[in-house]
Amino acid sequence: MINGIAIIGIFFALFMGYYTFIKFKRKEITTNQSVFWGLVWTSIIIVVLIPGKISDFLDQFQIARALDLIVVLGIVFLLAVTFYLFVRVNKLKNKLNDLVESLAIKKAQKNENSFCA
Amino acid sequence: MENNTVAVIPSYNEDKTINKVIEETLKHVSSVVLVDDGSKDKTEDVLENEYQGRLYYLRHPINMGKGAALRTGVRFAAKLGATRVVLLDADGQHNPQEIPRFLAKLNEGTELAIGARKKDGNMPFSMRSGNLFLSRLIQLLFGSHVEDTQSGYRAFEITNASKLIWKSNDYFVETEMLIRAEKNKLKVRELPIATIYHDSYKGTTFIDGIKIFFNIIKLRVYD
Repeated sequence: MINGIAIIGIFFALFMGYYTFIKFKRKEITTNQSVFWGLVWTSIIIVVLIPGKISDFLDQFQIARALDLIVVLGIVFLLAVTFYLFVRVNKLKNKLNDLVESLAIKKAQKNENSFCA
Repeated sequence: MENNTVAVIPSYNEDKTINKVIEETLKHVSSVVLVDDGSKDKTEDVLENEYQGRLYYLRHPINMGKGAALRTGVRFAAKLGATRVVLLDADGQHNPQEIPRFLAKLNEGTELAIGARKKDGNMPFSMRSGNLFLSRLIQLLFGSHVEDTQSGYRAFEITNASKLIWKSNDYFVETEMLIRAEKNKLKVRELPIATIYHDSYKGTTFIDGIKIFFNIIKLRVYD
């Protein structure tokens, strides 16, 4: 018997699979990237459809519920993404600083003889 | 070496006061480096042509923040061969006639001279209380003795610039400069200056104060 949350999970995974496919066809993501994300969406459908089998598998790792595993993995993933974005934003900020500063100084040096009031 | 004092003035939408500030400042320094931080008013247009080559105008194509403007200005001043740098604001809050007192402090061996405003009725209550809180916090966390940690009226020798240079682009620049001075054990001294506020709503806001608070903690724990 598939419950409400499972239906939502399946529809979400199907929608994301379709979205991934469109991005692949438009060449906005590579083949490897679309395969990776395809596997992610497929695994969500599997977990939703056969929770019993998944529970048997998780018991071996002493994980009580699949939902707990998903939540923990989700939090870990979000933390990793946050750190990655933090590093990227810092890098961009430094590049912007350098660019604006050098533009201002170069222009002033260029105009030194013509502008200086 | 003969002293070549350069004033660095960061400016954002101060077309009404900028000429007066430059004119008064040039009476006490060799040259002025004005960093227009992406102003949307008539700052570039109103600059007068009577400064006889002693004004250097730099413009950020976009607004980056006071800290970024000061950093650009100080780096340019170093390229000009400045031996000393005076930092002051473009809005008339800092009286250029007090520059000789800053230079005298540097002559005494001070490595970072900071103008300390009297916390009287001229300073808006929100600024007074925020300033007091942040100053006490910096004193506690970094052992600083400075009373007015948020004052932007400062002077230092260019040789100390590398020990002071800041990463922040925004109003945290003053705090970061002071913290770096304390961390690098520079001799920091204050001198009293006039408290002038033309507009209570310009400058640092309560939200800036919150950002400064968290940045202070970050510099203590994380830097």
